[in-house]
Amino acid sequence: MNLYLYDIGARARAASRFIGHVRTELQKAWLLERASRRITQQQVATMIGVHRSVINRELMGYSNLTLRRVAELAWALGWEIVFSLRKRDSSEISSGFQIPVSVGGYDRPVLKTNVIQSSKDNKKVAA
Amino acid sequence: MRWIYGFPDFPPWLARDLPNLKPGRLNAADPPQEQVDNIFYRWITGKEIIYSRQFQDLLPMADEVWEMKTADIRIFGWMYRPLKFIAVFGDYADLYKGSKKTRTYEAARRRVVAERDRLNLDAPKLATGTFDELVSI
Repeated sequence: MNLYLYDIGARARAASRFIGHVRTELQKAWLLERASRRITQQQVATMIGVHRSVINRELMGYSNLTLRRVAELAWALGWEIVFSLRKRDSSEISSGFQIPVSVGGYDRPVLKTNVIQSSKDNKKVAA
Repeated sequence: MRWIYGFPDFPPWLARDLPNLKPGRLNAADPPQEQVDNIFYRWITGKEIIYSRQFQDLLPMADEVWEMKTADIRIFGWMYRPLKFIAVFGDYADLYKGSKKTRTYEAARRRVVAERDRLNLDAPKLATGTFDELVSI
């Protein structure tokens, strides 16, 4: 069995995974709120003060998000952001993926951003 | 932990074609190469995969053909076992979307089924089940 290493370079990898993580967290929050509270993209857009198409592109993961917009989206959805930095472990694996072999040691992001639910803000959104 | 296996033509596509692709009709902020890195990362490290946004089955579902999705890329294949995806080929999403599309999901599905039929694999050749049964951890 041959292995293929998929490697886009350390800088691009760090950026893409962090951005992808933030986007996926926002999408998960959006899908959960849509399912549980029937909130619409229009409602989110109105709360933030932008056109619905802007929110659609951002929630679908097509647009570059500013830090301000990440915070605004989390607020509008009734979630809050947990963000931290830590020093990278020098022993951490920094290469790409081998296909078909899965690679361990990646699951330690340098930047960690999670969106967690805030019951207090949920009430605001629902009002 | 999830796994990705690739057909012989798949790694050359990753190495030669993918780096030259630009964001397409959706004008995504990230280049396709980074989009793929991110979905591979989420897949292999066992992070949550969002059904329909990042991974979904093609119709008819009975054929058990799945696609890994990013804004600009589709990777077609099937689930050999739960958490084990076999990638047959990757392609540019714009070729399947919009008024200028030149390829169809139907043809992609048929190609995966044909390649699967030709491949000498221990039975069963594919895993059946729902997204949660096959992909969720």
